[in-house]
Amino acid sequence: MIEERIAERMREAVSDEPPLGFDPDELVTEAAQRGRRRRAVALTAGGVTLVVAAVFASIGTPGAGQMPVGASPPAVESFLGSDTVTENLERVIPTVLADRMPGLVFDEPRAGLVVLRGRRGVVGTYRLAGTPNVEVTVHIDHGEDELDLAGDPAIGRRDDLVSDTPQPDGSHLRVYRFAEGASALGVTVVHLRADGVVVLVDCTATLEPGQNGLPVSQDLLTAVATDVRLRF
Amino acid sequence: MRKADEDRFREFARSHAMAMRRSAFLLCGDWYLAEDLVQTTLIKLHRAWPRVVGTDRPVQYARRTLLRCWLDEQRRPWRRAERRDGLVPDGADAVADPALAQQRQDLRGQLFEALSAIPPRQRAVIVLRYFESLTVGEAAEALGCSEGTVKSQTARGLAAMKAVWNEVAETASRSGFS
Repeated sequence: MIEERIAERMREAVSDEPPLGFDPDELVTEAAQRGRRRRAVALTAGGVTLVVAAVFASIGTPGAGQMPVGASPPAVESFLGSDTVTENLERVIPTVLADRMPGLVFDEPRAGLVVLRGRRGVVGTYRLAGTPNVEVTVHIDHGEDELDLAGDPAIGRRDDLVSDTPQPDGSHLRVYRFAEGASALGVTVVHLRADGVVVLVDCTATLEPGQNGLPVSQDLLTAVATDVRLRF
Repeated sequence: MRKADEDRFREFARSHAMAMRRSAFLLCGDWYLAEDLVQTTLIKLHRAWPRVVGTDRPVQYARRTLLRCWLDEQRRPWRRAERRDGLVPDGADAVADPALAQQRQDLRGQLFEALSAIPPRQRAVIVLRYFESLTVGEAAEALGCSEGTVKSQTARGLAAMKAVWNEVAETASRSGFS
């Protein structure tokens, strides 16, 4: 019986599991601290927006607190200068999101900005505050020093290419759409720049009953992807 | 959160983290990602704990949250690009006999090759039914779908896994004769 074979193989597959790489007690302490920070931010949000931005900035600064819970253990990727790039973009991306998507507030990335495996780039996922299911991902990399159409990180995904539009400055703007039945929806804008920088901005939502679209439009994603402040 | 609730959550996290990570590992095939998923799940669970603890069903809630975290993870832009064909999970095999260790690694590789050939929700159904030994009803509750859906997803998932294994066996027997 294949069912028994699968069950047996699964038990075997986890039989030599490594020790747990995190301490549940520390995690609970961290979760409690996050809860307090979240409540503090929520209280402040009713008052002055600038103060909220400062709180977000202080939470998101690497080294300001404990190691972010959920960050991948040992196998941390890096490239030459990645610390400086990451530190700079951790400041710049929230500013660009706030400028280009006025009225929308995003939580800080759970694990900060992450260096992309096998690429000279970083990525961060920002959850739209107050929603459990809408995320904007900003991915920036700089592998080549000239227009790199083949370096589009969205190529080969399950997404459909909707358009590929050459821009007057020699760059290309590509738009992809992703749909998983009625349960998830995504739009991705990729700006392949003439100097080799690639900026990918994606909004993906797990759709709740009655929700039939993304709260972040393609135009807003394009405005972020083409913002010149997003660079190495 | 009240101190008593916090203590109960702490105890829950301590006693269930390993089991949750095993299920997560079978879903994603990567111990590091499995650990990330468990941590995310526990943080979400902590947020909802005052509600959850009163229902006496924290395990079911945790399972549902973990599945949701994993399905969400699958939709992340950079994950959509990944296919874990033939993935052999990392981690040293503690078995002293190299031949036995190799055999175990091969079997594990075949399991993950078959699991990666099926869509995420089918994979979730297979893990729930045959690793966690949930009934059709319990699996339906965990996935937030009907029992009919669980049955059809199970049948499709099993058929696809069987096809992969048959193919592997056929290739092995062909190479054995050459």
